[in-house]
Amino acid sequence: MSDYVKPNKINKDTIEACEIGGNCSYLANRDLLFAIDIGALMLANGGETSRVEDTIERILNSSENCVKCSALVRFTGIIVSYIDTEYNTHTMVERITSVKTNLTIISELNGLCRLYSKGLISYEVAHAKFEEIKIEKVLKKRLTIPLYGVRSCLFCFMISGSLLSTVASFFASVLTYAIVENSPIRKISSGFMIVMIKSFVVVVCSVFTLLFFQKVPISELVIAAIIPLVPGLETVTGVRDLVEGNFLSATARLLNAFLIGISIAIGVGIPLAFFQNLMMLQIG
Amino acid sequence: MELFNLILKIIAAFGATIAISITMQVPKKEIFFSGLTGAISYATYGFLLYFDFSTTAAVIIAAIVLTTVSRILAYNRKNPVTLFLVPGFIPLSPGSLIYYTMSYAINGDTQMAFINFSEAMMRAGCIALGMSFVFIIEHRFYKIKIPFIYKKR
Repeated sequence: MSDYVKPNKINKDTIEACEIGGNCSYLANRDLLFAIDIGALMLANGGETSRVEDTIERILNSSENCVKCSALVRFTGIIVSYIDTEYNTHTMVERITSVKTNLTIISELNGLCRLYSKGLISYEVAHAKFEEIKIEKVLKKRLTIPLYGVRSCLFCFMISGSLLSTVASFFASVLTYAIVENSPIRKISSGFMIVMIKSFVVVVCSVFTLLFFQKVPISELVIAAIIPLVPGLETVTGVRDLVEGNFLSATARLLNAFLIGISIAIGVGIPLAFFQNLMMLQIG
Repeated sequence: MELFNLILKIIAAFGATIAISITMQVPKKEIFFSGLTGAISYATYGFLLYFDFSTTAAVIIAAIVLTTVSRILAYNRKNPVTLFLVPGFIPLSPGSLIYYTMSYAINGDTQMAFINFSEAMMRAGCIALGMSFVFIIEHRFYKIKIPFIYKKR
C-alpha cells in the first residue's frame, strides 16, 4: 500500500536524513508526485493519453529508486503504480475534472520531461521549471478579441469570398467575444454549456450585425464564427488514442467531440428559430 | 479567375490558422509552422476539388497530407505533433454542415437536415480515417530532416 507523504510537510533535513539512511520511500513518493503532477497538467491541457503515459513512465524510470513502474491514463484520470528498491509499492490516482487547450504547456512539459529523464537537469531545477510552467500565461483581452475577429473574417472569406461578408463577420465576431470575455459566461466550467452559450451569442450578435450589413447572408457570419468552436483537439487526440489501442480514452474523447458538435447545433438552432419567427429572417 | 480565388483562400487559411494557433497558445516559435499546416491542408483540399475530385476523396487526402506534414514538422521542430495538427485541422472541419443541419431542421426540411448531418459525420469520419492512416505508420519513417527548419535538441 502507498505510504504517501505530503512533500510540503517535509523540510530539507528530513530529505537528507532519508537519503543518508537509505529510506527510499520519501524519494519514491517525491518522484511519483512529480510525475503524476506533470501528467495531470499535460492531460488537463489537451495531451494525448499515450504521450501522458510515456511522460510519466520516462520520469519514473529515470529515478534510481525505481524497480518497476506503470501508468494507466484515461480521459478523466491517471493511475500510477511504482515499486521502489525496498520493494514498497506506491500507487497514486489523480482525477482530471476539466480539459482545456493550451499547447504551449504541452510543448514545455514535453521538453522538460525529456531533459529530466536524460539526467540533464536535477529534480530541484525540474521542479522549479514545472512550477513556472504551471502558472498559465493568459492572453490579454485586447489581443484576443480582435484576434477572434480576424480569425472569423478570414474563415468568412474562405467560405464566401465576398469582401462585405468578411467585414461584417469581423464585427460580429468581435462583438460576440467582447460579450463572452467580459461576462460571467467565461467562468462556466462545463465544456458543453460554454460551447452552447457561445454559439447562442454568435447568432444573436450576427443578427445584430445584419442591421448594419443588410445584404450579407446570416449563414456566412454564423459559420465563420462557429468554425473555431468545432472540437478539433478532441477529434485529433481521440483518433490518435484509437490508433494506439487506447479504446476507452478514444471512445470518451470522440463522444465528447460529438456532444460538443451537438451543443453547437443546439446553441445555433434555438436563437435561429426564435429570430426566424420574430423577424421573418431568411435563413439557410 | 477561380484559381486566383483559390490562391487567395489558401492565404486566408494560412492567416486564419495562425490566428487559431495564437488563441490555442501554440509556442511563439511554432506559430508560423502551425499556419503552414493549415494552408497546406486547405490547399490540398481546394486543389483536389478544383480538379473535380469528390469531397470525400479530397478530405481524406487532405487529412493524410496534413498529418504527414505535421509528423515531419514535429520531428524537425522537436515538439508534439498536436501543436501542428490541431490548428491545421480546423480549415477542414465541418462547421458549415453543422449550421446547415440546424437551419434545415428549423425550416422543417428533415430530409436536407439529415443529408447535411450525415455529410458532417462523414467528413469527420474521413478526417479520422486520413489521420489514422498516417498514425499507424511507424515514427521512424517521418524522420526526414528539412534544412533550415530542423532544430537540434
